[in-house]
Amino acid sequence: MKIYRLHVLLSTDSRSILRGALEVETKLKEEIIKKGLENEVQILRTGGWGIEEGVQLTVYPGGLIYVINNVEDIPYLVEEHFLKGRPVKKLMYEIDAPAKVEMTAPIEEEIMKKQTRIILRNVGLINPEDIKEYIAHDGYQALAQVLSTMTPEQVISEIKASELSGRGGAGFPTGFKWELTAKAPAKPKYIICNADEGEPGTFKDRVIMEGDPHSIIESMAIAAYAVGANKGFIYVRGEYDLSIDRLNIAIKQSKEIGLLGNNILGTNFDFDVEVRIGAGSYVCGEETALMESLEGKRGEPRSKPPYPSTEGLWAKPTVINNVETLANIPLIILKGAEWYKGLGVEGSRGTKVFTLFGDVNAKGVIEVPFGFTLKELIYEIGYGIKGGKNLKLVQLGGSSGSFITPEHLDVPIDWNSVRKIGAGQGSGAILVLDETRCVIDFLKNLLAFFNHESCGKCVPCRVGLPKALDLLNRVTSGNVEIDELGFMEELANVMKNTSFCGLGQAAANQILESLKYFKSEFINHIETGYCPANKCGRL
Amino acid sequence: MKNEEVGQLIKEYKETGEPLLTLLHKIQNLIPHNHLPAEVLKKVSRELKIPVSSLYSTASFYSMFSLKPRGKHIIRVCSSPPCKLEEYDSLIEAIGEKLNLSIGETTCDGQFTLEEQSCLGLCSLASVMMVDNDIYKNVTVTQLPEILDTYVEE
Repeated sequence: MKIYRLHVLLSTDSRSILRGALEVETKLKEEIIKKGLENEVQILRTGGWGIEEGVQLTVYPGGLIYVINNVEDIPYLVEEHFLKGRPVKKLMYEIDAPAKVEMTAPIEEEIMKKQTRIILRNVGLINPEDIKEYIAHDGYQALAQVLSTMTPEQVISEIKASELSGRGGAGFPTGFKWELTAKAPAKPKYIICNADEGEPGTFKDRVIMEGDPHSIIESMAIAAYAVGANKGFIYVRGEYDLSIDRLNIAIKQSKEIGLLGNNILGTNFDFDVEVRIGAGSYVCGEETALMESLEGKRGEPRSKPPYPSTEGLWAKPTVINNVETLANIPLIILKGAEWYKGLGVEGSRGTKVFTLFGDVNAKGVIEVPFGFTLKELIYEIGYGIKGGKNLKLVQLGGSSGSFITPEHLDVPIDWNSVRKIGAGQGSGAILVLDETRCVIDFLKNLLAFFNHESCGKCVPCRVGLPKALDLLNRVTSGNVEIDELGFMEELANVMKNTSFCGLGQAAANQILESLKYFKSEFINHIETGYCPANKCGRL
Repeated sequence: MKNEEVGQLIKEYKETGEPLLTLLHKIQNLIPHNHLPAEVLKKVSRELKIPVSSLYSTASFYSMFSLKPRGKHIIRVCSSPPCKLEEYDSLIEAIGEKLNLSIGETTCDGQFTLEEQSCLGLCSLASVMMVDNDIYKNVTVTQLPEILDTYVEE
């Protein structure tokens, strides 16, 4: 094996590629050869750290992060740092907060000091297209341990003991889900990884699939062993090209060395995984709609019960887990349920990946143990609101999520605490809106989204959404009476109580919460005919 | 209507047992104007013994499939909240003015169709839009003509 003096990790997730990561790579290679450093400096493609600026280069030893916005800066960087050993301060990652935060310390100290990376443990560190790098980071060790030393019952009881809960939004205990499927008599059984990530503002699953695809495959194999399944499907959104490619590469590599297929690791356990591609439908993220879609039908949700654990895909017992949930499994097996329970708080164990977005200084993907408050997430990890403005509203959990107003910023983000204030943490998207944003404009936009994605199966959602949108349009065109707000509330309540699936209910929630927290803004629009944010045009 | 090629895809579908959505994706990519015409769905129905009604129900459900002919190039502008907070409104307006097009429509010369795109998870690059399979980041109205011109045929 060749020994290099410097290792340069280049972020090549789809965000970085759009920012020009491949051009950066070409230029780096050219310059390295020009300076005769090709035997000293190694460039490695990795996923993204979750920093949303430019193309990131992390240089080891040291772990300094450079953010490249212009390939023309590369010759200077190569000469100064790679050749002469002088770090280039002006190209280092910095956060554009009121007091400029310069990241001149190694990544482990600066960015990761407030975060705990369990789910994202390999993302940004390993080459997602090389199984050897995953294996070098203890990859497939958990699977080997499970297959050689544990019975399926022991695996399930370990996952149950860890209190791992589903990260797709509902928070259902994962071990319990597995147990139900394991006990179901019908055969064959299936494992599905729900990678139909469509919640606006959420892309944690994409970051995992693009940065550490093998962790999902390994976890699915462990789940399959635990419940007695031999076939798994990863249902990925049709738009996630790079995720699809990297998962397919990972599956191919695992098959080649016998980590998927028949008689895995010399045992009599067989397991195979296939990637299935969606065709553009938000509601397919709902687990039963996803199964309909996998069966080649319209992606309309089924009525429950029966639940997928006993009657899922092709009416067979099915475990369906979110990408982020699955990514936890190998470490729980390797380090044990007791270790895992040491993270997070009572009722919400482990860590959660959040995507921090909107009017915040340091946008990005972060992972922290359950129990952090929004204040800590926004003002410490996110370095506060852009331009020093005041916070108006946080939308937690994407478009189907909940409104959190400034008075609730100190509530810890865990299942129970969030539930107590009538909210849900949903997918983990944190969209921050500052005081200059118009709630009515925001709501209109949300409802337009739900209206577009409504599958049309049930009346309250299909008919209610256009009605509500019409009302909102009349609010912003000044053509509405104040008491119609009461009608809007009533309409939303009917939708919430009678919609067939979570989509209509979530849409109604957005209306109710807007009215609950920002009624004065509605009244203001109607009475004065003026939008303080100047968003709604001339009223 | 590319009868032979469609027939070949159906044959492969039968042999490999690939999913129906994949077959429909493949057929749509093959047909000029990016859509699934009725006669093609009928052919699939006959050969696979799936009722036309259930094929129609599937094909009409997903936003990536179209039953109507679409333009040679499909412009998709992301309409999710992070992009709407940026340039979405002005992009739709500018495209509308430049190509005389609103959402869901196709230009008279059959070059472009304008659609809304659901969140691509590239929120730090908002506003995001796609033309066919190419993704454009941080799009502003001033860049729009240049982007669209690369797709206009000489």
